Amino acid sequence: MASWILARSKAHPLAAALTRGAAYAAPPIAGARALSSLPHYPSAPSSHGLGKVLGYEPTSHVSGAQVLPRWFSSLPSNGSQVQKSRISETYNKSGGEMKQSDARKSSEEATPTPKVVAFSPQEAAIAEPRSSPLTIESWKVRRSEIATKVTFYMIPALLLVSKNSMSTSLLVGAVFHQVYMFQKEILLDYVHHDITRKWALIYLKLLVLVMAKNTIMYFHPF
Amino acid sequence: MGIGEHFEGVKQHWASNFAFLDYYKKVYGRAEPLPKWSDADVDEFIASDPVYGPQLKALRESRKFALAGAFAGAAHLGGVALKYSKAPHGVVLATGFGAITGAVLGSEVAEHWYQLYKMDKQGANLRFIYWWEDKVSGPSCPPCHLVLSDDPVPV
Repeated sequence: MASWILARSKAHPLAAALTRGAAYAAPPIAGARALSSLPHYPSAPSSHGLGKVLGYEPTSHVSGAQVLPRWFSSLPSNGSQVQKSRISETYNKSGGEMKQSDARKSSEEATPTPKVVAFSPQEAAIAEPRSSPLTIESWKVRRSEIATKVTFYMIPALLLVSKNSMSTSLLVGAVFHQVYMFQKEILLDYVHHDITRKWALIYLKLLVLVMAKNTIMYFHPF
Repeated sequence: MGIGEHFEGVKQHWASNFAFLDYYKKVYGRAEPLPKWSDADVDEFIASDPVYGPQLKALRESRKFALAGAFAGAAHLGGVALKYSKAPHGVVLATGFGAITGAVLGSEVAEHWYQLYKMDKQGANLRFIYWWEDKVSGPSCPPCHLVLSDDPVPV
């Protein structure tokens, strides 16, 4: 894996040098020597740590300082664009490392390729949605709201249609679900301590379940 | 066959659903309330009636389960609120809510302990009330007094 990383890091500046040589007709010997000695992230503050993590040993600081002005003077706009993209990539990677869980970090370590930031808006739009504890919680809340809305509109429909015990049981379940969600919202708003709120919600759920069962039994005793 | 017959069926269905409320009309909807009975009277009925006596005895025993459940629920939820939240109005509300939930859960445990789901609970209570009504107003009815005999004949 380390040899593969080293080979990729060696190939990358060579490809860049060839591209720039073909595009702008720069002197090939001087350009190749300068780019081969250039470190991967010259001016980012966490470049050394990132290089150590990825197993890439950057060259000395002095040669980077020597090469930098010539590179900027030769290609001002393109160089600044590449520099900005590299800086933003470094910041995104460091931010992602702070937020990611251990499982994601271990899975990222398994794949040694660094994450490339999408340049075009279409690529960014096509990218898959992120998975995190916050989005999971958001999906839970959304699902709960959908269930509450569906059971709310189920009540008048079943009230006008039900003529047997099964549909009446569904109606009773829907009504008590509304009661439970209404009371749950009150408890979530006014009980602030986590453990007290958890126990109060457990008691509420048990009470509502037993009341619903008793109502169903009273409606059609069999 | 039309929509009117469907809604008539729905109406009858809901009338039969709420038929259990007639019990409260028979008990509390009297023109003149019955005189107060004592535990001795209830015990007398339990001893005399072979069908509804045991049911009424089990119903009265289940009240202990509800009371124990109320105490347990109030103590637990009130204790949690007192330990963590420390708000006085919160502790009072939590104790009340815990008592209600505990009583309901205790009744549920008694329902399965004494197998009350096999009994006609409202029927047992109504039978006792009718027995008490006959006993209280029995001597004041001259024809019933003539018909009543000293030896009870099982029907």
